[in-house]
Amino acid sequence: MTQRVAFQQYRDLLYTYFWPQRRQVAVLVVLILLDNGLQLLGPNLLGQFVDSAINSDDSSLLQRLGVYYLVVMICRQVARLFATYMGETIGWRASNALRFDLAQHTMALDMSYHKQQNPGIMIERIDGDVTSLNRFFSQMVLQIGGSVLLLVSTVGVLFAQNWQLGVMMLAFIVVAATILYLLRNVAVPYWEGGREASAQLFGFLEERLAGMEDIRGLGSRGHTMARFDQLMKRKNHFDVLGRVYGGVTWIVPVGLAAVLSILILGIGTHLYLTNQIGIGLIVMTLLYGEMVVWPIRTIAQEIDQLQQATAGIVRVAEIMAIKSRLVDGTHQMPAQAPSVVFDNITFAYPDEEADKHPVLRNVSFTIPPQKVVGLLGRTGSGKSTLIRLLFRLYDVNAGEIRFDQHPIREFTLASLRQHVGLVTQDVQLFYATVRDNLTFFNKDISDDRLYDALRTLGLQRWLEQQPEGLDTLLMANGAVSAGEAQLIALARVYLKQPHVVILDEASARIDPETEKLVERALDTVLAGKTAIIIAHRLQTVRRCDYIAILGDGQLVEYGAEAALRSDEHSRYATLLRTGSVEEELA
Amino acid sequence: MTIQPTITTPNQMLWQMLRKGGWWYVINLATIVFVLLIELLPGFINRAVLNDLQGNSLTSIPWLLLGALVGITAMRMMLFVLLTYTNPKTRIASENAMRRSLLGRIFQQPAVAALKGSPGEIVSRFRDDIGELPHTVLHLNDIIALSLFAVVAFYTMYQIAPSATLVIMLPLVFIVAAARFTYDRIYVYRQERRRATGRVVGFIAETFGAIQAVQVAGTERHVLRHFAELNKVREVATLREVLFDGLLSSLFRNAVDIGIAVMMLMLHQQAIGGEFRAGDVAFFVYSLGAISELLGELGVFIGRQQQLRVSVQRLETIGHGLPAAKLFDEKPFPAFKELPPLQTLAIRDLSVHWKNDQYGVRNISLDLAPGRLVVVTGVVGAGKTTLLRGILGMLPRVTGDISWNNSRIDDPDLQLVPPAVAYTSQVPRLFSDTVEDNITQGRQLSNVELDAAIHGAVFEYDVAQFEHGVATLVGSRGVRLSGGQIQRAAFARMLYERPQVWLIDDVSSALDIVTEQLLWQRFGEIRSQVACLIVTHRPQVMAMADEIIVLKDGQVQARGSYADLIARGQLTH
Repeated sequence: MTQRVAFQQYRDLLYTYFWPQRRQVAVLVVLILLDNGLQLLGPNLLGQFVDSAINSDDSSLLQRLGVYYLVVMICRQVARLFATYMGETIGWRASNALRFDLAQHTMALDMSYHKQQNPGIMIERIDGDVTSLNRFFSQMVLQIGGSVLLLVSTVGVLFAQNWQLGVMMLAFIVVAATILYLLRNVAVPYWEGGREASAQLFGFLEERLAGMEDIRGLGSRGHTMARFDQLMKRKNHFDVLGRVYGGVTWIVPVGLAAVLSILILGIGTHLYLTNQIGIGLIVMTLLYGEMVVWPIRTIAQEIDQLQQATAGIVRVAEIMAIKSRLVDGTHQMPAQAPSVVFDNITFAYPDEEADKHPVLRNVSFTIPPQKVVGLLGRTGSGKSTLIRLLFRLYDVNAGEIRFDQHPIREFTLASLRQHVGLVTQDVQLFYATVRDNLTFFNKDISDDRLYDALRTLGLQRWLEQQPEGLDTLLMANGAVSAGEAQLIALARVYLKQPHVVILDEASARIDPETEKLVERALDTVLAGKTAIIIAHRLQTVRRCDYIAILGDGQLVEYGAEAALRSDEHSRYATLLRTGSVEEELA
Repeated sequence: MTIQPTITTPNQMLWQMLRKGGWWYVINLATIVFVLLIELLPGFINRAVLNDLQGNSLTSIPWLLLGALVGITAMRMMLFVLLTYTNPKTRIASENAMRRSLLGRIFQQPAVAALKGSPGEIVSRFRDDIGELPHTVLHLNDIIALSLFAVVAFYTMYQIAPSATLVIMLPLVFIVAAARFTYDRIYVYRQERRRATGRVVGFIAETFGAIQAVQVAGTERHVLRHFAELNKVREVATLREVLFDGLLSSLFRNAVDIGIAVMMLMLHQQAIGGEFRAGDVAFFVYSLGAISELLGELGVFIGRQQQLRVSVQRLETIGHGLPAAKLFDEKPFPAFKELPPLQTLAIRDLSVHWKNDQYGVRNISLDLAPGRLVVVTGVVGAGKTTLLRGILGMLPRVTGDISWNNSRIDDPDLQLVPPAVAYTSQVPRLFSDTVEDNITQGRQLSNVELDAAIHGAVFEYDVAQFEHGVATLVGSRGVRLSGGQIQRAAFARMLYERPQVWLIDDVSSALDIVTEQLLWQRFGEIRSQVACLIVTHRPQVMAMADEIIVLKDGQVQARGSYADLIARGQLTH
């Protein structure tokens, strides 16, 4: 279950996300050095104070030591505060960069990946896992570095005062560090399980919240609550185990600290009784002992965090290792409406068994430039799949799709998708403003163009009803009727001005009256474009120049619309007459 | 940004969480107190050894005292193990109760208006706000235990050097008092940070919920830029909070260092008088270290109290004003209220409103009875879906009556649900389960019933093609299925209910003509005992209808039979 994270993985991560911030990191290192130095000075001053108080009557020296101490400590707090701030800044920049990279990477993955996810799980993958890495970025590395430094200097100072005490401290640190190193992976499996359980729980929750209306309509609220309960219990289980096993890494240092102070007291007493050191040095060493506990505890706590982070790294690496099945092309699509050629294509979805029927078999037909083809066929006959292939959401298994003479694999995905526009039946709206919903967050589109698009699609009146116009926040679920959503989707394509337009049941949820309006708008949208229209309503299909009919993954009929209509034996003509349901299904 | 009031005060919230923690909480508190009191002992032992050394009354290594220290350490470690177990146990009790109750609360709202924010954003409240609240209780235990430690330490210090002890405490008192002025700021910073986080999380959910649309639109670049902007806002809000918290806690910790410096300045006078003892200095420093920790924790705790108000306010918002304190009284989900066999379902003068009036429906009356089929039709935005949702209580009803066999329906949310009424929404959602789980929704009838539902929805051909038949996973929101398959799965899900009334919102829009005709043909055969209200534009369904209602701008424009309306030119076909 636990993959060991190679040192190299940490290193790569650090290099990628810290190198751009090397200046800030340098400042942070200086601040940490300063903090350490000042921290070491404190007990030293106190030790001197004790010895001076016992051995001399120089009152002004004692007073001076008090004032020094005060100044040192205030400076130290300031250094510390800036170090914290700096560490967090670096950490947040790094983790946000990672969030961005993850989002970019996953967004580019093909649908065979996304089919298996739900939005809640993506929240955990892109935000949750990275948040657990946040401390790794912001503090861990620097804290561990700073702590090691502090330990080394402590040993150095002690050696300068008395070699026996120095040896003792060094031996202690080596033993403690070894023990902590051995314990570092104890809780990882539980943290990892916990993160997975958490992703399941919140993924479930997101999906059910989004489907509230259905759950309510089906009366399955009780059932949903019970499933929610089960998932919570699973998370709880890992929470407890993770905490208990994770606890080892801070309980052990507490024990080690106590052992150290016992050692100091014992050895210190012996050295004093044999007249090798003064009481001031024992006090100082005891204080150092207290101080050494902190970095060791820090290291231990960071190891505790490191375990959580490791779980995060494993999951991040997992995602980053998933490669899109699609190889990006290199060419830009030419800026003109091309002919669309389906040349003998065969396709089966990647996760389906090989011996099953392919969804599409040996489909061939050509749409001349600027012509409109109507694609017909029963549900499940492969129409939507054909469209997905055109966008390269998947690649064909055999055959080739070409725009003019260029196979679509040659184009960059970005350019391909920029020049092909799609309107589907189910329109995805964002919980964002009307503007962002129309432009998909593209800030280069002017408001005038938006007004123009809305006017063309007859959405003017609808816009007037929106309290804040283009800035009105659209609820993703509810306030926009399904028909209006389809008009918004048409407006999106109108704004995009692609060369190839695909309408997949784009007006299915629109009433006949509004549809007339849309038909007029389509004249504008489709002018000079090559287009594919999937529609079940025959009125919509009448505008097509050609008709293609798919049946069970194969092309069963293709020809000019007018010709097929007048040929009374054609399937198309039969469909136009309808009423032939039984015959069609036989 | 202003401070929004919460119904539940932080103290009430604390009390509830403490109560919910029950015995785990008590054990946790007792353990921490015990641990910290034991932790005082090394201070006393160190002091005794050092003072004895200085007074030359110690001539050999004090083995007995060192042995005692070893014993104390062993004990502390065992208690710590107990803490790691009671900690999550205390927390989980509250977390679960809050999550469960809040989901229940949201489920009891009119479904369409139930979510105050995007689902992803609400998930962030379930995850972060609820996840963090119970930590406050554990923190409270730390404070209590540290305070006890401080009292004992303070008493001892006072015995050793009364005036120095009092002077040391002065800056501490002052700083704690001054911290009060920072409350509002802590609150505001926290609120902004949470809000920014919610937006990031919500955006991730929406983007990946619509990933195919994003890819097809080729708009990844713009979406990512928007994501980066949201990230930046969150970063700024977080850093501001971190800096402020750091400033606060360093103020607190600094107070102790000032105390130590004051002690040095005051003790040097005792030293001149010949009363100076090294062990006392060590003890002072040891105790002040712990008191420093207490103050630091206190600063954090004060901050948490403010942050707790933010979380409480956020939970009360999505809980539609349910006081957060009530989230701990767990009630089972209210039971379905059974209705007698249907004779008539009468809807009279029903008006339903969205936020702005244009989207409502006004004064709609209609009658349903077993075997009767009523169709609602009209242009986009006419209020067809709103009418169905209004009847079901998914939107607040403004005026009008719904009666079942002449008795008034007061609580549609618990009455007009399966097994009395089943509903299929216009854009049905499937969940990432198997086909079977999506249809049965946890209600196991026989396979015969399942097959019948699938057949009724003209879905049997597709299911047979699926790799694992009804056990096939449909993917998130049914993404593995085609649009038409999703609609028919949802239709099968509705048929499986076998209710007395069906409310169907435009369910066949993604179906090809042949499939659609067959669907309605089969439906015609099984609907004979069931009352149906269907939103559709399809002539075939209208032809079956006993009555057709044409809506326009939320009002009835025309009603009558199909032939009648065609004759009057009220239908465009």
